[in-house]
Formats: sequence, structure tokens, C-alpha cells
Amino acid sequence: MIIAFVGAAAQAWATDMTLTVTAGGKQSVYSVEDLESLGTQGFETTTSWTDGPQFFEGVLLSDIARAHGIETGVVAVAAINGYEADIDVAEILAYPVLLATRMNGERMAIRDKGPFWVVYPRDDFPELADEQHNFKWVWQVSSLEFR
Amino acid sequence: MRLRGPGLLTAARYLVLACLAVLLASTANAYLALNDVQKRITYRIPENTIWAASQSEVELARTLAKLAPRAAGLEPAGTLPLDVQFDLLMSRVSLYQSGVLAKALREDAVLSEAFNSFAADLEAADRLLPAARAGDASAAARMRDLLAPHRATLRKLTMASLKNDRAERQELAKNHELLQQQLSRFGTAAAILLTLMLAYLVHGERRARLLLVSANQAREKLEEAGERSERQAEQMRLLARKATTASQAKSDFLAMMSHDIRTPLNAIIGLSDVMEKEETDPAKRRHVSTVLKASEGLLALINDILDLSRLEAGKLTLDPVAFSPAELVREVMEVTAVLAARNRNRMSVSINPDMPETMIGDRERIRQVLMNLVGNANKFTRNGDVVIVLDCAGHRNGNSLVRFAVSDNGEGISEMLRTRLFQPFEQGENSRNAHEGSSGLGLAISDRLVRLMGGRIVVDSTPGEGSVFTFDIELAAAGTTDTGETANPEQTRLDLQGKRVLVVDDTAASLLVAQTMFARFGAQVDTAGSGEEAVEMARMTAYDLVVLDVQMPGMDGPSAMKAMKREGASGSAMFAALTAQSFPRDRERLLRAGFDAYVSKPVRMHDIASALAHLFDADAQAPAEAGHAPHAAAVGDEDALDAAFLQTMREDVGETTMRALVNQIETEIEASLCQLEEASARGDDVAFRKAAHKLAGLLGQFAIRKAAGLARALESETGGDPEPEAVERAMAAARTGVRALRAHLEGQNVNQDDMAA
Repeated sequence: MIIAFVGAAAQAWATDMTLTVTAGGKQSVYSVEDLESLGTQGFETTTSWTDGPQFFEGVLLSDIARAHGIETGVVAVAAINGYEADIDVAEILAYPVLLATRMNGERMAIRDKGPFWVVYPRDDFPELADEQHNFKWVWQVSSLEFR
Repeated sequence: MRLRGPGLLTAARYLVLACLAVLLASTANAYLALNDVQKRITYRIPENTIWAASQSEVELARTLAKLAPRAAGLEPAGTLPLDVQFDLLMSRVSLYQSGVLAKALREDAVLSEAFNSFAADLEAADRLLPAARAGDASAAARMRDLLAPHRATLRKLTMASLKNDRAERQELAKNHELLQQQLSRFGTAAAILLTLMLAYLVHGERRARLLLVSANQAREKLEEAGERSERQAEQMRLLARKATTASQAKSDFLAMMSHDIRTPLNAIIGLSDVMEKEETDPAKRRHVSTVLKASEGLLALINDILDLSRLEAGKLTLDPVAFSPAELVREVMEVTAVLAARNRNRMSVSINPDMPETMIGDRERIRQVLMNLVGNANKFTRNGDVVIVLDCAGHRNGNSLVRFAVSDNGEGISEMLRTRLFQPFEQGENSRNAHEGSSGLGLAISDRLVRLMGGRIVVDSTPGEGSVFTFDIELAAAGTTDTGETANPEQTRLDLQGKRVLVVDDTAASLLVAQTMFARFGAQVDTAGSGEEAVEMARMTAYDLVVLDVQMPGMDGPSAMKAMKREGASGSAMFAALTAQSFPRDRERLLRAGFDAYVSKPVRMHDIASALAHLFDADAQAPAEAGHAPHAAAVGDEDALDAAFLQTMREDVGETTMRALVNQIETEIEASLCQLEEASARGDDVAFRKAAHKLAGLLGQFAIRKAAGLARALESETGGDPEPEAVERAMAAARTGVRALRAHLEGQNVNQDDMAA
């Protein structure tokens, strides 16, 4: 408990982090709250990095795309540490892929892969449960760039 | 070519289509599997342990890079604040604390321990983070000192991941290769079938139909033939087994009967004989006399049955000796005189004066046949004449064809009866049964005995006028031709005049050869057919020389010698070993065992002389043993015969004995082959070896080496069933050898005749 408390006190506040969305040459910056205001969804799923199923909540990537008038192409998802993955827009339109902001009802700190984490509903759609999709579960997302 | 009908064609076509479909499906399946493997290889990179480990390394390096200026009291460069960077590192490390990576880490104790120490230091550093962020250089320095050593820890983690990954890839690559092979195989098969289908379309339906049908027919025929021959072979095996089992059961039963019935019967006969003599009451004596006669009849019947069964089982072999046919015929007449007197018949003999005085044949068996025929003639003739005729019916194979005939002017035999006359247990009309005690087996036995000797009994009869029973058998003349031969000068070196010699061998032919040879050295020769018999004989008679076959069933040569030396009258005799095995070590072994000399088979007089001369002639310097080097000058068909040896043998034993020997060896070899075959079919290992041993001995006797070698190989076959091919080969070689032997003998004859003419 003490360690947890000290840790909690020491870590960077996830709320400080923002999400930059680039679409059609326009950049928009979202705080966690801004993003959640687009409307949140949730589902339970297992992941390769957690023990047991977790309940994730956040904004569907398809909603973000639609909010920016995007229906085709590719979205390049980048993380704070420079990691990048491309996701087909067709895929996020076909599956309810989340840009999660909460795990089990809690906001996620950077240490817990927050504040934004791409989460695939891999338990509901087994075709998504493979290594080919795993590399698109970008965590500590800092930007989305629709191309 | 005829077609089997449209049904077959349609079926064949569907079959090909089905095969094609299955192959195509398999190919597609293999292709998909291959793709899957490829995908797994291609897409697994971002989510593997190497990535996770290396990313941890990266974040640690970045964190250390931010701590270094702080520790020096400077503001770090870059956009990310220290705490965010540290959080990134923490999040990387936490990957190892849950999910699949945690599982992987737990499996490696060394890595797990290293990682735990890193996690502990990371927590310690975490506690220093607020101070370091606030600008405390010493806190930053302490953080750096805590974390810097763990570059090595994370490096280790990366390397281990790399190694595992390599192993995993290799495994995948192997699967990949297998799948590729499978794919190419299926692909090739599918391509072939496709080609076939195309050929079918291009060349027209009829052509393809013919091809398909003929291929199918050929296959079906092959399968059918295979099945049929397999079935037949199985049936043959079954039949052979059944037959041999039945024959064995019969033999066992008869052996039991011979003992279990004859023993009480002897008591009955003996006691009733005594009672008949002692009984004074005439009525009682008549009863006892009837019992006695009935018992004697029963005993005769049992003996006849045993004879017949032995004949039918091929167990009865001939025992040829030198004898006078004329004397035999006279003896038969004398013995049956009582029978003749009973029916008031006149008996006479008619003997062709040109008949050779001494001939070689089985005297006892000829006597048995004559006794039976003369007995019958006397039984069915009253107040008549019974004549025994001995005549020469010509020549065959250089031997005399001797005719024996028994004629009577009795009641005769009807044509209907004549056909059944030689069947066991067949007796003529009821009227014939009225005559006293006849088992009905006598003629059956006689017929088989004559057949065994190479002849047949011919009946000529007119009811009411009488019957003539005639049989011709081939006999070699003995003695007459021998007298003209000049002695081999080498043979004069061994003089056994006045010596008693016992020759022991389990094959009759070998015995006859040795007997003839030793007799020609001047010795008085006795023979024994087994070690046991020899020991028994040596107990009664003091022999000067005992010649022992080394390998005999039951008591072998060396054992018999030891037994004789231990006890009995022949303890001080000389012992010579006779063996078919001519290995130098064998010779040494036998001489060490106590034999005085060693003679290897096939035996020649020269060998006997050189082996034994020093034992009986003080002047002789001959070595103690004589075996032959293989005959370098072996002439003719090396596979079958040794012509040079056969020539020597002819000179050694004389033309007539040679002929008798060849006649006999033919019969014995045929009998051995039957036994061999039977034992092989029955799977009787002991009988099989015995037969093979006998066969090898017989063949070796005449230097039919190849066949003898094959037979010996069968004999020494250890454990399990002998290969049927090996048995077949040995039997074929034996038969070829015998044929060649006969041809050789005839060829020699022809040449001699040519020269004479």
C-alpha cells in the first residue's frame, strides 16, 4: 500500500497528456475528457499483457474517424515513445476498436499504458486475436494521423 | 480385348474423379497450412519477446540519458520530462509482471531472478523520482547508480529472447519445409491426374476406357492369382499338416498296439501252450487248443498290420545283402512243406541254371513275399501242384532282372476278385474265408514289398484251373565279376586277414560300402546300425577293429567308443572314426578323443589303407589319418558329381556292389527326402534334422558334394523353421545328384560296351 501510494504520488499525471488528431491536413488536440465527450463505449476482453479479462471503456476509433469525416485510408497511430502502427480505416469501421481511456472504470496512468490505448475486442471477434493484430494495440497513444 | 461392361467403366471414371478431388483438396489444404505458417513467421515480430526486451533496453537507456544531466545538476534536453520517461520505463517493465511475458519469464529461473533484482532497484529509484524531478542532483545520481547496472540485466533478457526466438523460427521453418514437400507431392499427383484426365479427353473416351479397363483387369487378375495361390498354399499346408498328424497318430497307435497287445498275447499263447500239453481232459484240451490257435492267428495279424503300416509310412527300408536266390527258393519250399502236406500238394522248384549264384538284394523281404505266395498257393490248392520258379527275365541298368513265380493248379481267382486282391483286408469270396487263419494282409504286404524293391506282382489266373503269381526284381550279381578284378597294389598294404571288424553307421548304404571294402581287405565284417547296437555287439565279441561313424542319432561315435573301451570284450580294439566332416580341427578333436585313425567320407579303399596300415602293419609308414584333399581332377558336372571319385569307388567295391549301392541309395535318398518334407511340413525340428543328417550322409557317400552341403546346412540350421526355399533347393540338388549318378553309371556302361564292340 505504501509503495503504491508513493508510486502514485511520483508518477506523471495522465491527464497532462493530450491526443493530437490529424485529418485532412487539420490538427485537433484532445484531452482525455475532450475525447470522452465524443461518446464512450465499453467491452470486456483479455489482452496479451494483462492477466485475465479486463473491462475497457473509451471512444471507438470509428467515431473519431467519422468525427473527422474520414471513411477510408489508413490511420497512423503513434505513441509517446515513438512507436507507430498503421491501422486500416476499413478495419476500424468494421470492428468496434476502442481508443480506451479507462480500464475497469479507472483512468490509466502512463505506467498502465495510458492515457490512451488502442484496444481490439479480440474475445468477441476471434479473428482479431492474433499477433498480426497485437502490434496495433498501441498504448500511450499521443497522436492519430489519418492518411 | 473384351470390356467388363459399362458399370466398371463408370465406376473407374468416378474413382479417378474422386481421387482428383481428394488430391486437389489436399493440395489446397497444404497450401493454406503453408500460408498460415508463413503468416505466423511474418506477423509475429512486433509481439515477441525480443521486441519487448529491446524496448525495455531502449527506455532504460533513455531514462539514464535523462538522469545523467540531472545528476550533474543540469536540465536534461528533449521534450519528455523525466517523470514521463521514467513512467515509460516502468510501463515497459510492468509488461514482464503480467500477461504472456510474465509467463515466459517465470519459465527461466536465471532470468527471473535477474529481473526481480531489477524490479526492486526500479522501485527504489521510483521513490527517488520526486526529488530528482525537483532538481535534486544526488537523488538523480542515486537513481542512475541503481539503474545503470541493469543495462546488463535487460541485455541478458534480450539475448535470451533472441535465442528462444531463433529456436522457434527453426521449428517453424521445419514445419514450413515439410508442408512445402507435402504441397509439391500433392501438386505433382494432382498434375499427373490432371494430365491423365486431359489424355482421357484428348485421346477419346474409347482409348482411355481401354487403358483403364485393361489396367484394372491386369490388377484384378494379379490380385486374384495372388489370393488364389495364397489360398492354395494355405490349403496345402493344412492338408500336409493334417496328413502328417494323422499318419503320426496312426504310427503312435500301432506302436502302442504292438507293445500293449503283444505282451498279454504272448502270455496267453505261452500259457495255453503249457495247458494244452498238460490237460488230460480231451474236451478241455480242444478248447485250449482253439484258444492257442486263435491267439497265434491274432499275433500274426498284429505283426502283419505293423508291417503294412511301416511300409505305408515309408519307414521300412531295404537291407541288401549278398545271397543265393536258388538257395532261398529251396528254403522256402522246405519250410512250406508242412502246409503242402496238409492239403496233399506236391511242391517243386524250377531254377534257371544260368542264374548267377550270388546276388545282392534284401533276402529277408524276398523270402517274406515268397512265403506268402507259396502259403496262399498251398491254402487254395488241394491234391495239386505248387511250383516255385526262379528265372532270369532280362537285364536292366546293368543288373539282372530276376523273376520269381509261384504257380498252382488250385481253385483260381475270379477276375473281379483279382482287382481287389492287393487291397489291405480284402479277402476273396466267403469260400476262401473258410480256409484257416488269414489276415487278408499278406498279399497287400507282399505287393508293397515288391514295389519297394522296384517290381510288381502280376497275377494270372483262371477260376478252376489255377493261378500264377509272378514278380520281377532288379538284382545285382555279386561275387562272379569280383573274382576277375586285379587288386589295387596300394590296397595290398593293408591286410586284415583273420581280423574281426565291426563297422557302425546309421545309414545302410554307408554300411554296405564299408562292409564291402573291409571284406575285400580280408576281414570278417560285422555291422551295426547304431552306437547302442555296436556297444551291445562289442560286449559279446572281441573285435580287432571298430569303425565308427562319428555322427549318429542317439549314441554318437565317440560316445560308443568310450563305452566300448570302458567295458566288454572289445576294450583293446583299434578304433577308427568315420566322418563326413573334413575339417582339420575335427580330425584333431577325434584323435585326441582316443580314435586311432580317421577316415573321411566318402570312403575309398585307398584312404582306409593309408589310414589303417600303420595300425596293422609294422613296416608301413603311412600317416595316422587319411582324408582327401578335394579332388582337383573332378570331372564333369562339378555341381552334381565327382567322376574321379566314383571311378575310384567302382574299382574299390567292384561293379556289382556299385550297382547295388546306387539302387539302394536311390531308394534311401527318396525315403529321406520324404521324411525331410514331412518333418518340414509338420515343423518337427528333431525329425527334420535327423532326415537332413541322413540325406547328407547318403549324398556324401557318393561325393555328391553340393547337395550334401545343402543338406548339411539344413541339419545345422539352428532354431525356428528352416526356410522353405532352402529345403526346396536341397531336395532339388539331391534329386539332380541321384539322376546324375545314375546317368554316370549308365554312361560308363555304354562306353564299356562300345569298347567291347
